[in-house]
Amino acid sequence: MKQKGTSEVPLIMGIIGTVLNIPAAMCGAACGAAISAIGEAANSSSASSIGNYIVAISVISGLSGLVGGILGKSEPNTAGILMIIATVFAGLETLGGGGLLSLIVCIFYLIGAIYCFVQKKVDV
Amino acid sequence: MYPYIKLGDIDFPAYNLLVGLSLIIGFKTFEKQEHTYNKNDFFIKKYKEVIFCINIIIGFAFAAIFENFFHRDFSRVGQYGITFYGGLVVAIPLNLLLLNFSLNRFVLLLNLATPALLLSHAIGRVGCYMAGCCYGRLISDFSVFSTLGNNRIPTQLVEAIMLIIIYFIVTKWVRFESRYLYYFILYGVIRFLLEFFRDDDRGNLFNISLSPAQVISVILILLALFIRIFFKFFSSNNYSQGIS
Repeated sequence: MKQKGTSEVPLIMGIIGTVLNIPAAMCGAACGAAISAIGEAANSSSASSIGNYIVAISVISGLSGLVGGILGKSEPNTAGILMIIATVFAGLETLGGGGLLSLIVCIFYLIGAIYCFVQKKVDV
Repeated sequence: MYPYIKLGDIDFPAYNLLVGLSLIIGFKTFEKQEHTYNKNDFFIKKYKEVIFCINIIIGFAFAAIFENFFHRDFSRVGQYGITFYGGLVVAIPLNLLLLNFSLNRFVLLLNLATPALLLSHAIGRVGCYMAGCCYGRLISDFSVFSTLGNNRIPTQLVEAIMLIIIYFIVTKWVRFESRYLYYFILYGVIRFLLEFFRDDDRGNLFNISLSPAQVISVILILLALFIRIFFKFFSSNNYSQGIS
């Protein structure tokens, strides 16, 4: 028998995390590139690649978080896995220079992921 | 214009938060409408979350791409912001494809999604006001509606109020089967008129004096009228009445 979740928390955390992920990614890309460019060994191509890396991981984390959040009730286990992926990538973004906003996104995804697994489930 | 909400040391972008709120309310409204009105279509019942996800992702992507298209500049997608009509125009063929070109099912989905679309759009327009985009022409009065340091016609808030009024019209006074037709006509007329009061860079579609949004508004109004008239008089297959 298939189980369905009952909590709205994954939906709220997934969507709010994703919409906040966009400015965090832009900030992270700019900060990461700037930090790299300031470093002695860095040149313009490495700075650009760090910016691209942060944008790429933020896109992956944003999409996983959004899809995970929306599927939070109908497919709780799949949604939980997607939100864990989103949490990991948002964490990488934070380490890459995403700042405090990126850390908050990471926490939102983590709360969403936990709720996906621990929420009350009903048989359908 | 309040682009950031400050909480402690962190500036939360108001536009993004309101877009998030609009998505949550949009999804819950769509879910409620689906639960109330969809008794027979198990495809939409089973895959509504997937349909919603695909529409959000593709819709927002094309909303940005269309704005670049209106400005004839593809150097960096997203630099001109996003346009609602870009997402809506792409959503029509996209959903036909997702629903395997079943016209009855597509009309049912449109009628289910119309209230959600209206509420989400209204909240998104409040986000526009907070961010300071989609602004109106300069005026001397209404100093409370200050955008970019000037007193401007608050076209964003006017549109948000109009969308709420259309929401009440289509949910309270219009039959379920005709919701999308009234939405296309009413929103098309309001958007067409509001465009005359907008002062931001509107872009260009066919090198005519009308803005791209006005052209799409006219197409939507004509399409809705065509569906209404054609299927009323010339066809026994009444798609304007929705799924039977």
